[in-house]
Amino acid sequence: MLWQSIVRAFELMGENDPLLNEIIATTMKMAFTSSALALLIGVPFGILIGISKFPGKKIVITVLHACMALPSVVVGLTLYILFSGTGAIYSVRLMVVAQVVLIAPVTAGMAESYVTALSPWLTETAKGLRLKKPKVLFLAVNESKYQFIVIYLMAFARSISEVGAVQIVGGNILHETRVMTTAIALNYNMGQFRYAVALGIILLLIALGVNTVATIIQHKLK
Amino acid sequence: MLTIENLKKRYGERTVLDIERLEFEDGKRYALLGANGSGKSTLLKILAGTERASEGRTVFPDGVKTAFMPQHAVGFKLSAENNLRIVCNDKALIAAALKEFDLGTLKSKNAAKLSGGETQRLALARTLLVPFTLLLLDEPTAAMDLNSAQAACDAIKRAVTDSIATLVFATHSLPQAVRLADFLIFMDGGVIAEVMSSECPLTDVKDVRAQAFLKSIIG
Ligand SMILES: Nc1ncnc2c1ncn2[C@@H]1O[C@H](COP(=O)(O)OP(=O)(O)OP(=O)(O)O)[C@@H](O)[C@H]1O
Ligand SMILES: [Mg+2]
Repeated sequence: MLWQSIVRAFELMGENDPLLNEIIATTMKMAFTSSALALLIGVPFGILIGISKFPGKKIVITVLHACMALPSVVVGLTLYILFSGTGAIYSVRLMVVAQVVLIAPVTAGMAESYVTALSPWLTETAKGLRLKKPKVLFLAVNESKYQFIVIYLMAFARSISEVGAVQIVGGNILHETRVMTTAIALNYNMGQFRYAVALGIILLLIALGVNTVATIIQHKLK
Repeated sequence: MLTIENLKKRYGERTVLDIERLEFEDGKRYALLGANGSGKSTLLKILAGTERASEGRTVFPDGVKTAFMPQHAVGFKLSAENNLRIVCNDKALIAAALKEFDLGTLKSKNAAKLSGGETQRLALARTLLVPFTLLLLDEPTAAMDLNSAQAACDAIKRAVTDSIATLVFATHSLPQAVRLADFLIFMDGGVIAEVMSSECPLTDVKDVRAQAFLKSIIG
């Protein structure tokens, strides 16, 4: 059964199936956009919290940590209620919004804990030089680019494999919002296990490919 | 004038700094002297605002601009030259600083990979490029060889004179303190033992704790 699925997966890839290509393209578009946005929003926010001292900092961090574990169906449902009846529902754009809501807290939390664990001397020195926040932010990121590649990979992996929220706000519409995870769920529901597993294997290969590229970049950076 | 009143710093149950009153006159230079753990760094960090006092207050002169170099010198993961560029855009000033601190041959080197003394030279050069009216230096030459320390001392003196700034620095070198400072502040167990002019002979020290400290370093 598994072996047959693996064979089917490679057959599928060899067939250059237009539907499959379309699903992969939609998935990649969604995953790259949402992980990039989550990184751009979450990382500066996390670093700023990490390098700043302000009253209520502990509360903010506690809330942030809680948001790292937001259940994706809850996020999906909330957005669904907010946007149902508008033109935004069942669009890739709203799927990206849902994923950013899910992933940005994770990137922010990781960036915050990284900066806090970073030598306290860096922030003390920067403060002693009266550097403005954007420069401290730059120095913090610059101190370990490797760390931020790992954060990005986390974000991308979470985005590409998430199913609950994108199913609800995307609706798994053929030719529009169908992505790999929702396609897998659909095929499974229809009893087409072999196709579902084949899609799963392709998803795994994509994840592996992205990770390999990132590893190569990492080595180049060192 | 920079004034400290009833300042206390506690870490947990322990009080590591307890200063009733201390004044720093504008444009004067002060050396903090005292054994390990006597509270020099803690006082400098509170003045720099990187550490908060548990009690008491610090009154700064109007429009004060502080530059602070912590005890542990840090080279940012950039070239030595870019470490200076991050605080200053003026190419001529940067070139002069590289020359003054003998960093010319190291300017393209990753600052995270400099030796301890080189890092300290770079950190001091960087701090002196920041516009300041209050300069706080925590053992700025402790890791340097004698020649470098001498040159660094001259650079500090020149920078402070040029900016008409107040200088407060910690040091374990009595000759350096006397050479660079107008006043010596002896600290012991978080307390100010004595403040005296650096022009007075050291035999004038009255406080027994300060006397004991001097004895321990000169014999
Ligand atoms: N973050 C901290 N937590 C707990 N105790 C601290 C902390 N920082 C400093 N101390 C304590 O406060 C006391 C004063 O430390 P401080 O660093 O001010 O001494 P110092 O005079 O600068 O010594 P040195 O000559 O070794 O640099 C020390 O006993 C130290 O153990
Ligand atoms: Mg110290």
